Amino acid sequence: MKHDAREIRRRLRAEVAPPPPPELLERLKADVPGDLGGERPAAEEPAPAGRRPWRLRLAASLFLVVAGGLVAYRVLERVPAPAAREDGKAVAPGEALTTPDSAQDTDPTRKPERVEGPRLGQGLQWAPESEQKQKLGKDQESERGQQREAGPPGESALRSEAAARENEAARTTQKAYSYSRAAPAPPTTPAEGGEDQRVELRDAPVPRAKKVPIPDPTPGAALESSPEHWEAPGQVQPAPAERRRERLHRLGEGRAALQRRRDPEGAPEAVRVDPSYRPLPLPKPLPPGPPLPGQPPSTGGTAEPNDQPYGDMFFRSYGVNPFIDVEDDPLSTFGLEVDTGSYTVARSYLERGHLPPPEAVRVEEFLNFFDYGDPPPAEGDFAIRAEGAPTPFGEGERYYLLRFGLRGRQVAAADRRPAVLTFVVDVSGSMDREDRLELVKRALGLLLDQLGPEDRIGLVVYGTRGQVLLEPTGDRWAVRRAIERLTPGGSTNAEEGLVLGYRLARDHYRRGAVNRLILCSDGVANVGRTGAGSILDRVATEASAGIELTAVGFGMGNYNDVLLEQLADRGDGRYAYVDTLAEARRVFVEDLTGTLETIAADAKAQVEFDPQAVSRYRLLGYENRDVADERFRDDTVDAGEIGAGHQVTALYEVKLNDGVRRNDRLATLRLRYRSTAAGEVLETARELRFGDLAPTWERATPALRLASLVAELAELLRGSYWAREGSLDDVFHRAQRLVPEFPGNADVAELASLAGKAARLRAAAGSE
Amino acid sequence: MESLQAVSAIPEEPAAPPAGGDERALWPRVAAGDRLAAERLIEASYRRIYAALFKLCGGDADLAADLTQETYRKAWAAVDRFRGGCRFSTWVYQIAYRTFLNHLRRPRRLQPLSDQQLERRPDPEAGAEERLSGSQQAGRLRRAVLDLPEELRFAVTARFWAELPVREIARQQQVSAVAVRKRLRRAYALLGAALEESMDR
Repeated sequence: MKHDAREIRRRLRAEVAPPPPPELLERLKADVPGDLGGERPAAEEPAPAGRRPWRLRLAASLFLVVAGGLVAYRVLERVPAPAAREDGKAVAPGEALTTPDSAQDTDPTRKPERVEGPRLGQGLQWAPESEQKQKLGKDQESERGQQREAGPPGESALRSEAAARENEAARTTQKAYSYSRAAPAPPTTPAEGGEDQRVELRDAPVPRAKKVPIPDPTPGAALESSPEHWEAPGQVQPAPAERRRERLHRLGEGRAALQRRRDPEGAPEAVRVDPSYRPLPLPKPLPPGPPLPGQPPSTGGTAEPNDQPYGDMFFRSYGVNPFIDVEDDPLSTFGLEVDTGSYTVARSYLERGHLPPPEAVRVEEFLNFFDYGDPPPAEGDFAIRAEGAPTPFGEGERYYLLRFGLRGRQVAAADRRPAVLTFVVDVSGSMDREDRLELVKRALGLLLDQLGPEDRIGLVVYGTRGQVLLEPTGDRWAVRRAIERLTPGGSTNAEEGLVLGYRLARDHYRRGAVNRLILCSDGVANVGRTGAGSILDRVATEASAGIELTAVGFGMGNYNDVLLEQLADRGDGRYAYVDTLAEARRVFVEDLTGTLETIAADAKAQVEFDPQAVSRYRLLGYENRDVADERFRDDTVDAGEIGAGHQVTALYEVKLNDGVRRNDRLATLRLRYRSTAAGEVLETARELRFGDLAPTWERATPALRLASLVAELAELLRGSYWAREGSLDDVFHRAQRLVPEFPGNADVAELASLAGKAARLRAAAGSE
Repeated sequence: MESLQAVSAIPEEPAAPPAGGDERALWPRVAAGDRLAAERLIEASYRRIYAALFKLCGGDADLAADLTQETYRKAWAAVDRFRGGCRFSTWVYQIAYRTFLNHLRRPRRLQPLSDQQLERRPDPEAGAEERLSGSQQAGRLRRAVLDLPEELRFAVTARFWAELPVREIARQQQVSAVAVRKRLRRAYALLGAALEESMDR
């Protein structure tokens, strides 16, 4: 069969779609927001586009080029060369032409534009016509023609002539670029796209920010542009914006620039970054751009990785902590977290034969999934273990891996406080897929089995509307029956569900008990009429009033990891992702006291490195848990909540100085939290000395080796720059060797098999 | 220069069924906050969007409906950005297309991009051999379309599956109609090659 254009067209047209399902229209109408109105520019008449105007433009510019050439020739003939130069300097418009050029050399804000100009490539179609021409290489002649457009013929002839002379020797694309910018926009410039481009170019400098401190999180505002499902405004912009974002990404400065756009006045030296910000997912992974010539890309850090020039991977993974010189900043501060959702999400991807998207991988959640066998504290709330060993790769280079393992005090199931739990269950249509709702029912069934006579359960569901199904009751059979009757359908009004849930929980608030909402959802988009910001605010308010939120994610496909993670974060609770009944058992049965009983609130850690001993360090993970160093002792900062028996692991990669001795202190870990047992804020510390480290990697504890493998797997899956030399195969083999050292821990064997799957998937992806 | 003119001499594609006039009249009312007009606008555009998503999804009606809903939610959330430079449905189609691409990046039950799964997928209506091969062919074509480079893929899906006129695509993408045609021609060539290759296999 032949496949010529006609045949292809015929076959493309031959595809038929059935009429949409009848209820779809209702669903769509229900989604129309209430506040449609508002001052919005009325529709502009579409700009006439098409063949004729395009041709006209072509003809006009051809004419101008020719006319410009002619006039310039005449003037050249008449005016002797040296005089022309003097004239050029004297004439004011001539000044206007040359100044921007020299100004560019001094004005730092313009710098990136020059760097970026040649790389733009894609932007070409939108660039004003004049710029296009220049790029197309019709340099001198068309440039003159274009300058002709800018002013009366005689004057501009002088100008172009003067300009030509002054720059004859060093005429480069970049300069030509700046000229066209200096001249007023030619009348044919497509107004919107062209203007956008320019503003953007100016707005995207590459600041060499040092350590990136944390701002006051502006609730809500940040979210709007961050996670996949709430990014609609950015996502649906017409093409130029899309492109702009891609470009920002490529510069590795997406965060900074986005933040600046949001907050144009605050343009501080060090760029402030919202902690909740996560890289925007793009439809396709960007091809790694070449390093910018002559300008080191901003890494947010001060040290070059491994003393090597920056590799290509770096741009893709800007959301990764950089190496930081201890001299510059000896303090590393972050909020603790015990979420494990990211690991289970990634596992679910891999089990289904897909590599997880890099944004879904959070190293700290991978680390915290595993049990490193750290003993619980004999007394107090936490046991802290600190250890380290030379990294297996940096032999002889004084690179070490340090591990801080925190373990929370355990609470026996019998000693657990009574709980008032309000289940908020998503029964929208999307929960019908893949038996998500069935999994929820069975998971909640498991939880019910664990509850005692003192505990109370309420049930709220939401689909198109929220509904209270059951006031909190101790009658477990009533709860069970209510859960069994849940059926999916309708759209997703999570906001109303949460509002009702919180109202119910407040009405039945019991002092001295665990008061908690358990949200079971796939997190899919719609949140009523007001957007994610207001939901998150409300969750934070309720949390400070003593009602915590545990977010349990179900389902795949259009699952919204980001929203659930943030809900749990703001709601002082935990985020877990349940993909199988086994995982449900882990969350609701084995770890129930940990899930319900919080032993420490707003827990923050600060590691102080000793500049005498450590030259630089890098924290693996915790990127979105960053806390400003000076706010470590600010107890109003919302940080992590730790449940009973939970453990937190932080890994640092450090480079030690020469001549470090046994007794030299490397680092001090400080832990600050509000103890629920003591009812006050406590602070503990633990020192790590060089003598505490293992002399070789082989003699490192199994816990440290496991942690390093877990972190490496996560780093590889998220395409971290720092792991660019590692391989999934290698992780797979090393994990396999580690399995016998953790008898009875199925998680390690699972880790090995996941690494193997990931290695095969990546190999398959690479060979395509 | 000659080549550009040559391209512009290609005859225009037959126009898609008219829907634009209606939408254009409705938009100012929607912008003024008329909910009823917004619903009319949905009525005028959602079939096209659904049909396009249905074809993009390779015939999963449920998924197409879900994605349609997600698309409109995003559209309303971002409606302030719509400048009226193109038709409403054209704008919404771009959102739908991105929504679909986002969906592709998530894992899913169906894996319509892979050969084996296509063949394994049970087709309840395919009794006769003829129909089976027909659905296989459609699957190949769809896969080839999805494998196109981004620009071409958008142009092809917008042109044929969303049945948008070339001019609308051009406005939406802010390029000339000539450029869109050029993209389509390149796409035909690539699709032809891809199909030959998959036939050989």
